Amino acid sequence: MKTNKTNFTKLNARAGLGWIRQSSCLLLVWALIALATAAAPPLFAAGQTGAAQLDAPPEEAPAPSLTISPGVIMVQAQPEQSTTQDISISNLTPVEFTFNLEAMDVAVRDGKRVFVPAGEMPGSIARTAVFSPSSVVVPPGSSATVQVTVTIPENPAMRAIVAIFRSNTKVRSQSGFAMTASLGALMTFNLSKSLQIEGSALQFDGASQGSDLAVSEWVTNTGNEPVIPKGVVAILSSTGKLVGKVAVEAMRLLPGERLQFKAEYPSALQSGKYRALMTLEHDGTVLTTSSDFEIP
Amino acid sequence: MNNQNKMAPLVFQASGKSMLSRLSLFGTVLILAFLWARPANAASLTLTFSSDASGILLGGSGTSSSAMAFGSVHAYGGVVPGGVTKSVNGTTSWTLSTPIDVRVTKTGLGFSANYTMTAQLQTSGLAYTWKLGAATLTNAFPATVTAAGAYGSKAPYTFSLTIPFSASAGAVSNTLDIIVVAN
Repeated sequence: MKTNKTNFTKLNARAGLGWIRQSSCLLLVWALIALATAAAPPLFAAGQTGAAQLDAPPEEAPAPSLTISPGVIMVQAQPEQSTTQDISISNLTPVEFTFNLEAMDVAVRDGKRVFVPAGEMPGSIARTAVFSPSSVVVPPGSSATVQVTVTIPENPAMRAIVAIFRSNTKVRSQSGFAMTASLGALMTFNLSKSLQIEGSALQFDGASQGSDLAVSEWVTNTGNEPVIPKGVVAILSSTGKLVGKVAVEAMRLLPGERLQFKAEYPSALQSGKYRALMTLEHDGTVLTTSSDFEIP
Repeated sequence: MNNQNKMAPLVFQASGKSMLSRLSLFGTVLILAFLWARPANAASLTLTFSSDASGILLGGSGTSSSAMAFGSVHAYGGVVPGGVTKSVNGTTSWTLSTPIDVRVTKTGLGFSANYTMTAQLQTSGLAYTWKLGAATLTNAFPATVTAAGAYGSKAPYTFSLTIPFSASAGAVSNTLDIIVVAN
């Protein structure tokens, strides 16, 4: 009995190894297909749905454009720590591009972001940025990768910088004006657990016109670190019954930044009294704001 | 015990027996590499310029480097290219303006709801006033054209050049560096 059991185990082990071998071969084929897919340009941009994919006309060739990747880098760090990141730019245009690498601080003034030249503000993070190499020439159909090393100062004045591929390309034009593209990667830094947002009164647009209702709330990041709140708006009837709910798009809020979080209810509401609740969540913290409104 | 001893070589036979098995291991590693690298590669931003339906025809429309030629234009008289508007501002200056389209697309930047676009002249143009949208451009620093541009759609921005009557006649040229960063 014991022997039988052992043989059974042995047979299973042999069968298992055979299965692994077969599966590995299949996985190899899958990996090669996956790599080929990864190398190909993305078929659809983020946000496009499957339905849109089906309804769309035949896929256009990729635009002869510049692409930066990644577009956003979120770093968890401590003051006086360094981080090194790779940023790549692809040139799918027929023109050779020359880029100088440059970092700028992202400050928030009056609730809005502004790009500030490196070193202009005390506690500048951008001033510490070292690019390797500091400039690149990218021929048509090629890409270049640059390493950027940033050292967080002891008391940084901001929590974000942009690492920019500044185009130094001279566009050929016959006595006129040219435009050339530069792309930057946003780098945000979370240095502590001081995360806090503050909301305001809900605003309602379109409620009185019988059209789709838009519910919005201005939210300010009153903490010290970047946050990305996302949430939902729930519409309740006067009896407290859930009428419907709609998602609130996530948006990045730098410290001091103020943005309007908005949700559009996709169908017209019947006349009556309602209550709207906007719930925003970030890093395990929830902010809920409610307000009553009436559809005439 | 005996069976266990027989079992062990099976494993090593499998790893050393054939090239196929090595390839299998390689394939598995490739899968892991693919899964690891994909998110970073997918998060990207793309920028293109194109002619607006009611604007001047851009050379290189639909790409990331474009050019426009106003030709020989005078404050009074002369021929203004199609899609360009000329306006005379009293006795002080005159302006040429035209809309251009900018399209920014994102892939894999789920938390980026929109983008910031700034613009800067490559060379000094102090004698003139250069604008893109409401932003006045210089070669000193990037001026913010939009702080919340919408992804995916072609957004028209009006480019304008204001020339004071005090400026002497001559060729005017410059390059606008359009800088886009995900928010």
